[in-house]
Amino acid sequence: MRITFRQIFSLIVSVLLGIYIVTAMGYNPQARLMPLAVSIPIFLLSIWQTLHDFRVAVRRTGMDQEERPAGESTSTPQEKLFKKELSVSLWVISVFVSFYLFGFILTTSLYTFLSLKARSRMGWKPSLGVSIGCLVFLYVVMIYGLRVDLYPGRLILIARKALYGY
Amino acid sequence: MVEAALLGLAKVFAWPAIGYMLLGVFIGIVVGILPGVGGLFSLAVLIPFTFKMDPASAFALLLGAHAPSYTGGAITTILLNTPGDPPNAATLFDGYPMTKKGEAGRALGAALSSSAVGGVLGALYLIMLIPVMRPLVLLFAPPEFFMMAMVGIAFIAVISGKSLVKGLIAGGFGLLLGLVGLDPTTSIQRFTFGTLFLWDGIHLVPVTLGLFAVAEMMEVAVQGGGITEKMVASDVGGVLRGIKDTFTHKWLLFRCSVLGNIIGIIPGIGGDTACFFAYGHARQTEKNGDLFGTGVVEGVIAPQSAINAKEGGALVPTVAFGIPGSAGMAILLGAFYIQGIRPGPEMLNNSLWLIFSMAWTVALANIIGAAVCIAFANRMARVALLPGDYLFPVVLILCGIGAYCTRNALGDLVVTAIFGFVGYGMKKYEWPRPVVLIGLVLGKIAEKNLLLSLRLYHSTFFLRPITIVLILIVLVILVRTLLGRRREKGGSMV
Repeated sequence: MRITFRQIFSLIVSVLLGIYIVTAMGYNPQARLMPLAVSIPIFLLSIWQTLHDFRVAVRRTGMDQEERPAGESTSTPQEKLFKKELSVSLWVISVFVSFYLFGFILTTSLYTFLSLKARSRMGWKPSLGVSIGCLVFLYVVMIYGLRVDLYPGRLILIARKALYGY
Repeated sequence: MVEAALLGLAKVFAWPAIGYMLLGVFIGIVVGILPGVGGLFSLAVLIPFTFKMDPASAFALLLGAHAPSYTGGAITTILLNTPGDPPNAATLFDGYPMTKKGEAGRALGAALSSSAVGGVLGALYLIMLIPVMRPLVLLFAPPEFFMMAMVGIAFIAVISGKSLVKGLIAGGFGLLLGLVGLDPTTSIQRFTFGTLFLWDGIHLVPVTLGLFAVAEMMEVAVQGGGITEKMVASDVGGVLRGIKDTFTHKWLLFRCSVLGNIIGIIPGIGGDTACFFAYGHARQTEKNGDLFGTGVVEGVIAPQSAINAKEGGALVPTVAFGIPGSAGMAILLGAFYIQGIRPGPEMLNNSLWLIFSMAWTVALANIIGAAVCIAFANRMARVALLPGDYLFPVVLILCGIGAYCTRNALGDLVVTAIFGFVGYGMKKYEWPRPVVLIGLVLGKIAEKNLLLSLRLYHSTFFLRPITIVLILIVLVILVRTLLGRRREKGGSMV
């Protein structure tokens, strides 16, 4: 049987719900009433769903082996997709990490530029234009217009403390 | 009463009130478009400016900004799968699929016009309800709130998509997320893992941004291309078609606006639920209910009309008792005190014209707000044709700012990122995402009111007349859904 992310996803849901139930058991009766009343039936349903997904996977494996000529591999497009998903995931994670480290202002300009230049392989002009546009929007609408207090970034705060003492 | 209504109308059109209202409408639209920075934000920001204003001008500015914010919120919801405001969440279930089908203009036209009509109807209901406000509000107590939440939860089965089991798990998951934070009766920390940030629970905005906007951008980036490769040939006139759709479905519009208004009137249910109730109701009652979620215009009209109609309803308990019907009204209550006005019977007797003036402002602001948005809708719809490479970083940054601005907490960024991956997985493996939001919104309301009902009325709380009616509604919803699923060929349990 070839386990795919579909089965793993269902399994993770079941495991998370299991952890939820175990954690809820530790609370006093009043505090755990609603969490347990909801999570126990949902947990049972998730186990059913996981078993169903695994059953489908077993059936599909059997069908694939019958249909696929010997030596032919179907994993290449999946591997390509997985690599693409991994790359996109890293870009998504990096924007949130960048918000924390460098703050919103630096991230808005740098991330937009890097994403367009390095990820999408666009020219200097459109990359620079879009990133400057985003920065102007952030300044004009959020900072000057709405007076939103945006997070300056952990590294910026550390640097500021080292340089100016506050 | 007619005299007070006319005086209220005259005050709205008098200078400087009309100028303040127009300024408010502009601010409301801009703020509404920005994810995470919703109508509540604009109210909170504008309140300090009202100290030296007369009451008519102050409420013209505040309500002018608040009323069209959900109208503006529909724009990013439909075009980028990024709800401008939490109540816009239900609009994305069909609004964004319409954009993907190349019908962005039609979806925008329908959303904006139904918002305007919903808002006007909401204001009219407010005017009609003024004489019967008191008995209406007093009919509802914790048992009724609990059963109202149950009606909403029953809609999880309705909008679960093809797999009922996956829908129930996802909806239950949302309910469990809603229970994170301090227990409402014992104040015990639940599922906070020692994190201070989680004491307040998980907010709807970062979850919605992650589940829908981040997940969608991930998919666009993985698959390449834009949100849609095509724009329906007639989409230049698509906005007009959407407006026509709104008036073709006049009964749906009427029913959903009444539903939104009633939910707005009941303090404690929360305005965010109105859109889900309306969407679930439309899915059950419309002939093409099975197609909901694939991009049908009724799925846009129903929630948008309910969202804007609920604000008129929320004003009812605010002016009648000083009990805010929504979070926005709670902020507005502050403005009443700034103006030296005490909401309640005294206001109904001495300042009735002001209530009318507020109702007229809500109606007018909705019309002007929608008209401004409609004027630019065709151009805005072209955003959907932009290459995904441009949208990817811009939408991610917008999501980050929106998530952070919700509570000025870095934790909300983490929530958005986590739910981005969860949403991508759910979409890829065909788990319904909208039901998570319904669960999240209703989880806390259901728990709090169940515990209060048990304390106040013991186990007989469900024998109250309105509670019995609501139980019957829940049963009808569930039976109809299950029978419908059995009839459907493609619908399976798993």
